[in-house]
Amino acid sequence: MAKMEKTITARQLFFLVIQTQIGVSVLKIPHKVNEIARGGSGISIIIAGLITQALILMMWLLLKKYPGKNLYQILLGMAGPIFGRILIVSYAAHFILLGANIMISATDIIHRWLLVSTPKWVLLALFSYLAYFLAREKLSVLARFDTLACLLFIPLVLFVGYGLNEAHIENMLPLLEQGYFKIFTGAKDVTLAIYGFEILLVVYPFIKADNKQILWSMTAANSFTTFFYLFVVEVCLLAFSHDQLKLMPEPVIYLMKSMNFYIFDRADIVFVPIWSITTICSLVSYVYSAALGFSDIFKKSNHHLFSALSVTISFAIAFVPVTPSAMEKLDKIAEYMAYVFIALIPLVLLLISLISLKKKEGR
Amino acid sequence: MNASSQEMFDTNKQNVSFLQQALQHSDDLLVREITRDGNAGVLVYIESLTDASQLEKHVLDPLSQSNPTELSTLFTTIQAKESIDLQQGIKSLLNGYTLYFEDGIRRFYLLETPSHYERSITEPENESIIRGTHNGFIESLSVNLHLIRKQVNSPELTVRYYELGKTTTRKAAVIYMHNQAEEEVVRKVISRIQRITLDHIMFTGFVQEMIEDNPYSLFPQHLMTERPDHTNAYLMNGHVAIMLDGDPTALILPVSFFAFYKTPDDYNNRWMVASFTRLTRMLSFILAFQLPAIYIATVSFHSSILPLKLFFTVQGSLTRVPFPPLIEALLLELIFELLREAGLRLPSRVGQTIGIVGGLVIGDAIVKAGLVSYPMIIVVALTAISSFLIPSYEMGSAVRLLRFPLMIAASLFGFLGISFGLAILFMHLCKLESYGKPYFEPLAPLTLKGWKDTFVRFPVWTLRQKTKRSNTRRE
Repeated sequence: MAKMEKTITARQLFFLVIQTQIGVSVLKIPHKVNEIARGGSGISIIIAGLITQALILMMWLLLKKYPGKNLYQILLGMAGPIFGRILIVSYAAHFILLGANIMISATDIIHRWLLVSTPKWVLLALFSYLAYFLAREKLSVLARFDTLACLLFIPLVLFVGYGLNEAHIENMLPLLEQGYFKIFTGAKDVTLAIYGFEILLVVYPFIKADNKQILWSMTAANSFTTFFYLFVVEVCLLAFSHDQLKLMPEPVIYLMKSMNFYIFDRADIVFVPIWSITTICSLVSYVYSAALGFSDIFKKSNHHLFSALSVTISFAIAFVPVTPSAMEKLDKIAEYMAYVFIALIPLVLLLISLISLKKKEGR
Repeated sequence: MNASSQEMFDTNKQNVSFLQQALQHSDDLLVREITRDGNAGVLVYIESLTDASQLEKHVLDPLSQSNPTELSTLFTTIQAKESIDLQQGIKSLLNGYTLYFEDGIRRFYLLETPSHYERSITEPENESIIRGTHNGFIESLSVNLHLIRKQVNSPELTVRYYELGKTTTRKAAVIYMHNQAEEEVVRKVISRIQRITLDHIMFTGFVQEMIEDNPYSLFPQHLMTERPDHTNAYLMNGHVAIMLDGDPTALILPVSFFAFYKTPDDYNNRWMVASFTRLTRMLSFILAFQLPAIYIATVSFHSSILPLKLFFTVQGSLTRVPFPPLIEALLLELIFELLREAGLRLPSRVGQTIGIVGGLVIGDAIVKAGLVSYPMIIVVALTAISSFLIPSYEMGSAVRLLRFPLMIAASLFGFLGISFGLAILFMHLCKLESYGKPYFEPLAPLTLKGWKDTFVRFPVWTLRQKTKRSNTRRE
């Protein structure tokens, strides 16, 4: 079993979580939410943020009961060596699938916007190598890089904010055009984009902070992500009309494309490479989580090999779907898997632990 | 030197012949026989290592005095030791000592009479500054330590000597402030120095390579400097310095990446000016290896990023060039590297000629011949100048090397190649640790407090001096 050294601070946790949360979907989210919630997209995002906050609270309650253990070790302890391992493998599979999902969307976007004639497998290989390069390191190195990469949010926010030049307030009105129900359904789509906070399940024992601080930085990270998404979505809603948004799968890049600064035109060409670094950060987090799961199963203290393995599997999965409909299917699979792995299983574990603790107290 | 010790023989003759044999009957090993109070005595010394006037004043004069005194108080050299171990005698001979044997006494004397030929203390040419002290280390450890001690007259300054090398030994000194340096770091340095098992240590570079954490990294992990004031500043901040006898370079550790971008000038200028120059230097780091890559990526992939007027200008000069931008850039970089190396090895007067021939003649002709475009010349020239802005020669060389992989990445994947290349570079920098200290601090881990003296320089009174022994700061 990996030796649990406390290596990252609460502040680094904050950056780790936002880098995991904010990935590919930031480019797509205005398009997706707009389809369902239209003017109420902003509200959808806030609702999604609140749901996520509830999930974070639940995970935190669960982890708090088992200090010094992460989800994998809790699973091993609760479900027994065999069933526990099956669960860990499925968690690792979930992370790998999410990683593959990120790679597919990212390479797809880069392929369409930046490097049209570069074969997709080359891009996939690039992403895989970079992910492996970082995921094989210690968590503290990951956290350091994520913190550094967060500096990239400054140009990202500035770029997106520049889009406000073309804002027309009437574009996003009326707010409640689609009704409350649609707004709630829209929130479901956003939740997928906010995923990434589950990294807490894996890294919890590495954090050098007390539980209260951990909850605070998780909350701060989640709020940051929520407001970042809110900002991006509102800017897009202001700049484009619903009909325009319907036709744009990545409205943020379209927004960039229309801008020109005095020294360079086509901000999208600068924007996409910067954005791809944040994508790599979330990919790395998933690969690392999967690798850590494998090393827990095999009781190895080193996750070098396993991160290579996880990256390879992600690469292989990302290689398969070539048609847009296949990609969508994979998206759906990832979504439903996420419900099980992020919400259902932790909830069940929490309930079990509550009951068993009650029993102990009863005795 | 096979046996580690050899007890001395009974007679002078045996002793002398043993020494002569051990030193291969070398011609500069001199033996001088004298008589003191009727006892036969022998002086043995290596002529080329001994100072004649010292020998005369402190050894021969006392020996020739008529009134007999006890031998142990007779010699007036600074060091006079007794020994019976001939191996130790050989070692001392090689360090400039004179040995004195006398019949009938079962011990001999080691008398310190070394000659010193030292170059004067001058400012190191590769680290010149505008204001501040203009002295530099020289090839003698004791003089160098003198230069340090003279500026740091604190009882906390600690010097530890170590003998390095097996065939030829070199004296190395580990220098640190006892109350500032972290115990852990000092312990690591000392244990690593003691583990060096090379036959001979020729350069400080040998020591560096034997003790650094990541020998496979491109980046230097020890700051090399020949300036006493620079060294002292680091010592006072809790760093450790290693110096080798016979080498004017001090190795300073543990240092972070940004230490290579600081100069003593920063602290003599007013803080706003210093901050500005430091920011310029940071910009040079970016330019020095990214500019060619950005140019290549722009013209070969994303020329649509250029505003229309600029696009026509660049395109106009590009159409005459038969090569892809990467080849063009590599060609120019190659020429530049050739010129640089040629200029470095030549005497300075010829070096200037090289600069004129290279810079003016080749630069102009190569464009007129249609092999390279004007924008590329500008880019490569800017890159070259930027790479010389870095105060540390080692870091400058490392950064110069960096641009080649980045240029290739840019020519393969455009801007994405650059951003991925940079990502790998920064991942690597995040990973590096030197003596348990993160190398890329204060950027990774991000500690805003450290920024006060990294990219800019805040006024001196805001840079609080801290004692590290009491609170060991960790990420």
